[in-house]
Amino acid sequence: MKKEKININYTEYETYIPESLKNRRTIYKAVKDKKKISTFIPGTISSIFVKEGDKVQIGQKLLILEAMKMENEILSPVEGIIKKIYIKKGDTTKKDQLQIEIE
Amino acid sequence: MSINETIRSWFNKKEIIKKGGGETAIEKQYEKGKLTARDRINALLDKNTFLETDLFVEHGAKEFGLDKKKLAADGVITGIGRINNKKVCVYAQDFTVAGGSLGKMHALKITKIMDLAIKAGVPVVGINDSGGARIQEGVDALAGYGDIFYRNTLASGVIPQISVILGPCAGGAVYSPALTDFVFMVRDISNMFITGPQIIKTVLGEDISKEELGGAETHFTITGNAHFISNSEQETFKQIRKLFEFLPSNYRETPQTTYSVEPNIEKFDVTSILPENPKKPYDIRDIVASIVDKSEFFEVQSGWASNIVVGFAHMDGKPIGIVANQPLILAGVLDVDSSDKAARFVRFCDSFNIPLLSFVDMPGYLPGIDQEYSGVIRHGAKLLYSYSEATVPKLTLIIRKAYGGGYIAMCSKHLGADVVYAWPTAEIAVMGPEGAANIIFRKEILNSPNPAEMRKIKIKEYTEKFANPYIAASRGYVDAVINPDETRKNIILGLNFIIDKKKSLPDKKHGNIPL
Repeated sequence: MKKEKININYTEYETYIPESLKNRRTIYKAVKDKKKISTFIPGTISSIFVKEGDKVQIGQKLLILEAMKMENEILSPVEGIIKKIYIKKGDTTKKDQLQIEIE
Repeated sequence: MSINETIRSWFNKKEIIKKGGGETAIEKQYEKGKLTARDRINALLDKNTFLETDLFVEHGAKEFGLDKKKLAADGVITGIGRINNKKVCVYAQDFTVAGGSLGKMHALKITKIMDLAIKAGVPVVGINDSGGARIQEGVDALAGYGDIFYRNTLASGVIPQISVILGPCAGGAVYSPALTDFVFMVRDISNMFITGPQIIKTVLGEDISKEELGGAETHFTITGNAHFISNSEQETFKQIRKLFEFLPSNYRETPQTTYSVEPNIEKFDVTSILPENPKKPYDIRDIVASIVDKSEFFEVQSGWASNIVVGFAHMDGKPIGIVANQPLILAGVLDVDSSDKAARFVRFCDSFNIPLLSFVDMPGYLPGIDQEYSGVIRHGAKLLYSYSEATVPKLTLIIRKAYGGGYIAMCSKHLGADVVYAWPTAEIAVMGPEGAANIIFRKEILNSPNPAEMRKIKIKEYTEKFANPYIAASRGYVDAVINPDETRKNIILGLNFIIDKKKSLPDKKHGNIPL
């Protein structure tokens, strides 16, 4: 490990920062871009209800993600137009994978 | 049958059961680099002290062909013995018998030995090596787990409970170790998880190995579930025997004192450890070693949340619990994990009459979105709660920085510390000089023709005025500012003075610690 600097209340301290802490997943949920719909859990896309160029309302059904033995309805969190769809029916997706972009 | 024949028949019966799952199964166990349940008990206990109980217990299950199957000792060995000549109850699951699976009678043997431990007021050591619930026994197996968890909870704070994971421990089974005081794990042998890699793969499509998901290293460095790690079972038993040196048998006793031995000051010189620049790191364990008996510090959970150091040592021959900020890691800040770690340790010490010695050198709580969203408010509160609630003798030494909320949380006078010492190098203030100057002198710095220069002047002014122990000492928040060279002498003086402290909390059922 090499010594690094950490800033606590405007003061820089020399110290070591463990790798496990640096690699820790930060919590995106509330700070992430609402216009980018990502998978919150790994699973399989069983249906897609929109296509590129469609106008969507808040709460409109976008797709169904099958995960944890449940069919999860993914709803649009914003109003806008579908810019790009990155997945197709039957795809398995990883956690935090980008699925749909809205503008 | 003559008496001799009867006795011979008893002996033969016993010897057959003692073979456990038979030679092939034992061979398999050795091939995995594991000892058998009996080997383990012998390695853990003092020689020839083990008395086995319930050897002849048999299961009464009838379904799925179990009625035709005998399981030696029902897959778990229980009994009493001694560690360092102190009484102890012990059980070890036998993986060679039906994979150590837990059925109704298996659980009954464990709960019987736990009940005995509670009644007798002696610690209990559980060695876990089991594939999980005996599925053929259905809900009876689940009931068995529940009975164990219930006793783990009742025994908590009454007797020390130690869990040793020496094989798989999956699903519901993990909650017994989780409810106990200390968990020991061995690399490449121990596994703990709620759902195994196979289920994770099927349900979530994520690939992960057993070792990566729930091996010793994972629990020692990432989850904080394991308190001790080692490379072999033998090493683990040595660690447990070492831990026993610091523990009383139950909450009514005080831990055993031993001879006072001076620290090794040639290797650890108090004054040469601290760097000149207060922003530079050093290893707090060197300061601990410079003060405690034999310079011997038995660290707990050393791999996780290392920005705080907790563990046991002797001071003038008396076992004490040490909690110390570690400037070497993350500048010694308090955060979610380090608060959890320290709080649980403080509560253990308080439960078993082990006095607390806290070393303070930290710039505050770790700032950041990650920390706030992880609930640093809720978790940080645990440390305040446990220190306040602790009625054992509480001694605090402020070495350098004691800023803001962290100053209060680290067993300050305000949380009931009996003795608070500070070195002349201590800085007890609301925040560091840089931060404070930026706020207090914001306008003066902004309006100055040379703001950078002005900031420096103001920081210096603040440092001289506030970055010291004397303001806190003038209010009585610090009992004495001491010569670092005389730290050991003063701590022993304080400890011996307050050792018979009597203090009780207001009448209540129990408090509601923020969990």
